[in-house]
Amino acid sequence: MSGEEMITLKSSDDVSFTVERSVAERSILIKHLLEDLGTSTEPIPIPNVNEPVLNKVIEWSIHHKNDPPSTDDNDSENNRRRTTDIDEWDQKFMQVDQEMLFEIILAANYLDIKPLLDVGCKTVANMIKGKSPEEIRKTFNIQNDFTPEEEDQIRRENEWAEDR
Amino acid sequence: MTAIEERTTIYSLPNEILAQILECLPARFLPPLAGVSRRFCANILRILQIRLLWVAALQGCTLETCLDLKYSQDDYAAFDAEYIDTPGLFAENLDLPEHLARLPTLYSRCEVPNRPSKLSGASKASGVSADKLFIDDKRFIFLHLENDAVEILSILHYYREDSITSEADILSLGDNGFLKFSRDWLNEQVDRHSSGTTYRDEDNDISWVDGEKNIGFKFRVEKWEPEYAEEMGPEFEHWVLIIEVPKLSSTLTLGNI
Repeated sequence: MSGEEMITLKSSDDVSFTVERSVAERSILIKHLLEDLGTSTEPIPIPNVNEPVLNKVIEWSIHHKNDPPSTDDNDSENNRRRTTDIDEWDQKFMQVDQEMLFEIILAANYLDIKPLLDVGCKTVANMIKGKSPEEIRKTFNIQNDFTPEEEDQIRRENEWAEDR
Repeated sequence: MTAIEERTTIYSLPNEILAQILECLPARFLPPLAGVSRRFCANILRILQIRLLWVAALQGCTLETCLDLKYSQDDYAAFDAEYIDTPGLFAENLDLPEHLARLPTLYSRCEVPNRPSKLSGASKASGVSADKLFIDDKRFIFLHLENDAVEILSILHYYREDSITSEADILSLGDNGFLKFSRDWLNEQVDRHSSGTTYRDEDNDISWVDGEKNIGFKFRVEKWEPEYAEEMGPEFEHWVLIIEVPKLSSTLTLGNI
C-alpha cells in the first residue's frame, strides 16, 4: 500500500470510488477543488458523470497517473498537435461504443482532463478520416440538413476542387 | 410522465469540442466534410480560414530545414525550399468564406532548388563528401545505431531572403523537435520499400519534421555498409535515410496546415 492520501469521488448516480489523490488530480477541476478544500474526507460529488463513465475515467487516470502534468504551454490552441496518433494503450481503452466514447469526451471536458479529451477527439477524428459525407452521416447518425440545392452545390464545388 | 432518455451522440458535444476533433485532421481531408451537415460546414470553414491565413503569411518566404544528427556543426543535412503556393488559395479571387469549401488540397507546395543550402555540410563521421550528400534530387542522412533508436534534431526556419538584417527576421517555427528512428521502424521501412508495398494513406510516406505535422518530406530507408563499419564495431547497424526531392515541387509538404 502506497500510503498516499485517498479521495472519494461520487458519481451522479451515487456510486462512490476511492482513489489515490494523484489519480484524482489528473482532473484539474478536482485538483483545484482539493487545493481549495485542503484535506477532506467528504466524498466529492461529480454531478455530470455517471458510474460507468466515471469508472472509465478513473481507469484512464490510474494508467496515466505518473504522466507529466499538462501545461498551458503545450495545450494551447497553437501548440496542440494536429495529428491523429494515439498511444496503443489509449487506442484499446477507447474501443468502446459510440455513446460511451462521447460520454468520456464530455466527462474529460467537464473534469478538465486535457490529455484524455485529446485522445477522445483523436479517436473520433480517426473515425471521420477518409470517409465520405454520406458514410459520416451513417456512422454518427447525423441528419443531412442541407437543401438538395445546397448539397448539389457543395458536391459540384468538391468536384471542381478534385479536378485541379 | 416518462422521461425520454436521450442518447449521447456526436451532436451532444459542444461546438468547441467538435471543432477540436476536426482540427486533428489534415487540411486536405476537410473540404469534403463540409458536405456532412450545416454544423460541420460552419466548423470546417472556420478551421480552413484560420489555416489559410497562416499559409498566406508564408508567401515569398523560404523554408529552411536542418536535420542535425549529432547537434554539431559538422554533421547535418540542410536544404531550403521556396514556398510556391497553396493550391486554390491564390489562383482564385477568394471571397472568404464562400469559396473556402472549394479549396482542394490545402497543403502547400514548396520548391526545393537543386542546390545545397547555405548551411549544407558533410558527415565527417561517414567520410562522405558534401557533393555526395546532394546527388541529383536526393539528400542522405546516415544513421548508425548502437542502441534501439536514434534521434535527429530538426530545426525549421522561415525567412525572406531579401529582408534579413538580423536574426530577428528569421521566423523559427518554435516547434523544433526530434525525429526518432527506432531499429524496428528502420527495418520495417527497408522491407517495405524492397517489397514495393504501397500505402493508401500518403501520411505513411512522409516523415514529419515538426511535432505538429506541418512540414514533412518523402523518404525511403536503405541498409548501408560503410567502409569504416569494422572500426565502429559489430554492435552498430547502419542505415541511410534518403530524402526524395523532386525537382519541381511537393517534397516539402506543409501537409497539415
